[in-house]
Amino acid sequence: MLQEKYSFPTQNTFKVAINDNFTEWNEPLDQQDIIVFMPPVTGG
Amino acid sequence: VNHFIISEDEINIVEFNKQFKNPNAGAISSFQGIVRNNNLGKDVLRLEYQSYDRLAEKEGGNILNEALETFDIESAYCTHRTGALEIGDIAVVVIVLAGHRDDSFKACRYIIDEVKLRVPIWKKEIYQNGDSGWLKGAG
Repeated sequence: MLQEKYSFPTQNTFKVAINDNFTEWNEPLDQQDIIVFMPPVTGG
Repeated sequence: VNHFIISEDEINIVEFNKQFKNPNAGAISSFQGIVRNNNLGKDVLRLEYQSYDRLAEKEGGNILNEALETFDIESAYCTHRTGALEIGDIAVVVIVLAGHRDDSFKACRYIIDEVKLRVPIWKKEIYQNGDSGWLKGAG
């Protein structure tokens, strides 16, 4: 839905975290959860 | 104690190394990633790193623990810079103490490879010609 509405990048390239933990894209959300979407990392 | 640290402060390699002493260690391997003046054919002026600090330190700590479980080593440490860095600055440093050199080399390599793949840190390059851009990861 996000993908269609906001041209959101595919789940293959972005990672998602809930409350500072990496998680799966189909993880259910609770109220007040903090969601972070991350593009491919480029550290080092 | 998590030995993976995100830091805005300059890394002084001499001071960094002084922290680590272990009478069981016959080998210390280290890796320094430093800021290079070119990438993909462009002249780089400086870099800026941003991190998702809390998750970066957590995931970095996981990587160090994996190295401790996988290889015959005594201890492992890693610090990664954020903020503005100039050419020649140390962006990331890995230190591994081990009884012998073979596993210290292997663990050091494992840690830097996994850090580059998994730790949520992003690099922006500022070029000599005034352009700048966030690097695209391997995806």
